[in-house]
Amino acid sequence: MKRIAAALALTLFAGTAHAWEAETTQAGLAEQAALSSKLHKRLVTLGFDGGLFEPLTVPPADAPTLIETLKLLSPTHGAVPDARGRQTALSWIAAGASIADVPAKLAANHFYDPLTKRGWQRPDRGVLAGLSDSIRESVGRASVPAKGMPAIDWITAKDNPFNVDGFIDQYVKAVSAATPGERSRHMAGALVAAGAILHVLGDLGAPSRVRGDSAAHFEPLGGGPDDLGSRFERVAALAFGRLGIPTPSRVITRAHLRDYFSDAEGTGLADVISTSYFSPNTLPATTRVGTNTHPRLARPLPALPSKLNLMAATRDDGTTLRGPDGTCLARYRVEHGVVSFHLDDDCMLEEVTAILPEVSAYETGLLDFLFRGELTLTAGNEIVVAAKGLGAGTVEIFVEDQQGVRKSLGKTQVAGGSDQLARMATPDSGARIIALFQGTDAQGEPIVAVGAVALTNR
Amino acid sequence: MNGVGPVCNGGSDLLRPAGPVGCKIANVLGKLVVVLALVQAACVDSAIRTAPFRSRPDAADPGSLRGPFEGRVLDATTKTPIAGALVYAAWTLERGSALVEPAGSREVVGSTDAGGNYKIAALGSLPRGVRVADFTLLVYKRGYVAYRSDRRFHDLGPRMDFAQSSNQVLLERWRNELSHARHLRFVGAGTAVAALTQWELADASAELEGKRPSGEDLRPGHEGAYVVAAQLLTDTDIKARTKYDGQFETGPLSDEPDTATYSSQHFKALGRPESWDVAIRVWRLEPAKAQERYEELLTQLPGVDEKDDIGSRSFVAVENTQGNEIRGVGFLDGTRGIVVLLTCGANQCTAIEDASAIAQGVYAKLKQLVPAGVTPGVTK
Repeated sequence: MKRIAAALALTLFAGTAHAWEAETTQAGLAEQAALSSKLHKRLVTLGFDGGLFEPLTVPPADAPTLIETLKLLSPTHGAVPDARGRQTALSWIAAGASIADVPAKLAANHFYDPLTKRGWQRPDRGVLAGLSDSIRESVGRASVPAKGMPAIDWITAKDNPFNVDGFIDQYVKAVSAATPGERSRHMAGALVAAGAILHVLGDLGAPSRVRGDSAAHFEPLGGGPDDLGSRFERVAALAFGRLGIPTPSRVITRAHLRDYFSDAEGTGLADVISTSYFSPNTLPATTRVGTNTHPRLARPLPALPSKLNLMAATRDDGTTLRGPDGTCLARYRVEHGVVSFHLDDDCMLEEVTAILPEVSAYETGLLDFLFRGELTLTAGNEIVVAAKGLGAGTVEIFVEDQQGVRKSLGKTQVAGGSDQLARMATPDSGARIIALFQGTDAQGEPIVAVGAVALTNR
Repeated sequence: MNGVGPVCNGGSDLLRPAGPVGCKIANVLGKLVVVLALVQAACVDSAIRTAPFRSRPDAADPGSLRGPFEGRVLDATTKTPIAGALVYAAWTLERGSALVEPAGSREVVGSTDAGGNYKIAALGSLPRGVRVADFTLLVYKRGYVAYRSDRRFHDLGPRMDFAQSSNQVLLERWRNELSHARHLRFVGAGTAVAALTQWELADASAELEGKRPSGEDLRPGHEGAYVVAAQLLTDTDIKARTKYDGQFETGPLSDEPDTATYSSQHFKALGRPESWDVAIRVWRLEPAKAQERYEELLTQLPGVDEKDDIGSRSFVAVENTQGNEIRGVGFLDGTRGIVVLLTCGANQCTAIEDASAIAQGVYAKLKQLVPAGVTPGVTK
């Protein structure tokens, strides 16, 4: 850890940062989520035999904007398809996680403060910085939006090119399209959307994004006047990169999509992070030491201990405020009778080390949630489609021939509440049967459920 | 020094409240602020982050992300040089402030020479407002664990020993208990890398299924003849012959995608017409099919003249389209099952001898990279 901290010190004095870095931290989180989830098995069930390592192709002519955007990424981070638009399923998820904030203005929608229910608000940066921003914008440089949509709403917003509806649309087509080529293209599309949704959730693992601390994303880091960003998120990128992202601490399961972000019980990722960690501009206030020293808090949590160790804080390097699990939350120091708090790189590295497995756990759970719907098929003289926990929707049954071409055998409405969804006569020929449910689950959440059974024994 | 372009300093100490002297001073200060802000805004041509690696293994100062880079690739066990390893380098670019977006990348593909040495030229000029965010070097040779300049394979932790110059890359031999799934993630992407590593996909997938990989013999010397176009020709090779002093942008040709049996590399002369471009196409086939492919080229290409002075068979060809002459050289290596077609614009290769000399160099490199009697993609 000390070597990493030394490397960070070497690099950060002139570094730069922004969100969790898309091509490293975000791509790595999405890959870890995919590898730790049930997605591999789901892909195999659907006929993508290589699962997460199945090559999927999006011909550049079919999605020119997507392919052009992906060409902006560095191939070394594993999310750029080859010239014909081919890469593995795992890489398509990483691709989605890497481009969720392209163009950059979309990143303004990756903030959510559960206390105020607000998203990104551009901070007042003072007269000179504000003027400099305006001039830079007028000459075509980076423009920072004044406001963003709260992340929890952004995932379903119509303006979001990778919203949940888009994911569902692509997922349905990845099952129902006639040819293997079409299904490959749509599955890649579904995985890109899923990766982008994971990115939005993952961003809420950064304390500044869930504590209304937009100013933390304007820290001048020495690489020129444009080189502003969050030092915390750069620490994560340098220490863990894409490949070093830790495996999930566990898998978080929730009944509702939004609950992964924030819920009434305060167990969404945004809730947990915002109440467990400080961000650079929401640290306890600088306070004059007196008989009863209680620095004012910007928010109730995380709370301070009943007594600060002011004696230790008088040392040159001050002392450390630690959370219940021993993770550094801030350093504090008494100087000239005043106690002040700050976050240094070592402290941020401890926080990142504690936070990333949690983010990974939420992302894994969310990925399983998106692909959760499962149908059970039995094929004798009749095909019977059954499932648990589904509400109203439609069930469509397909037969796939030896060449992998699928044809619909029929579609039926189901009211929900029954385990058995549909039955029909088994076709005379075909390699296997695939069933697709689209509707809502028992909690009223949109869901796509799929299942398949081979016909080889007939 | 890592920064490039004009040095810009903010003038925040000018931000004092206007005193009682009044409007005149405030006006002057206001104008100063505007001028300084304008200078600050306009002078960001491009910037380079501090490199997270050293300039040399024995130096304390950081290297430059811009490059150049050079080093040597050795077998970690025997400490002997590894020739013909793929050397893939990429610079990550970004633009923006606070909310940042990717701005593309620059790639270089090459291979180590007989002594295991590699050299990567410094990054050229960049568009305005673009920052160099990162540099990654990847070295790959089938039969070995790949090397990345930013991460170690065994624990995926940050690599601390990469240096810009005199870098030593120790490639560890592949062991069957290692994970192909982890290795594929580790190597990342890029057309040349993907072409070389696609054989690992099935084993990676099998691992996720809980099955044992195929157990293919990957000991060095048993790895088959995996070679891609980018390994056979570099911009340095071209410039050495043609004396061209401009820059090339490299990447696969867009007319036909790379596959397990075909790869290409396009050297697009930056800011010049196509007549300055060079391209190489390589087919790696079973010997009989290579022969067929070569015969097809003979019949398809215009102005073919058989020479048979490179490899088993060779030809030169000249095509003149709307006054734009393209010179081509093709050759077949029947025993290795490899067909190569090199094309070179008339401004780059002013005589067919230029194209022939470059093709001779390609063949020399091919013989070095692919042992005789090894069929492409087929292990011994």
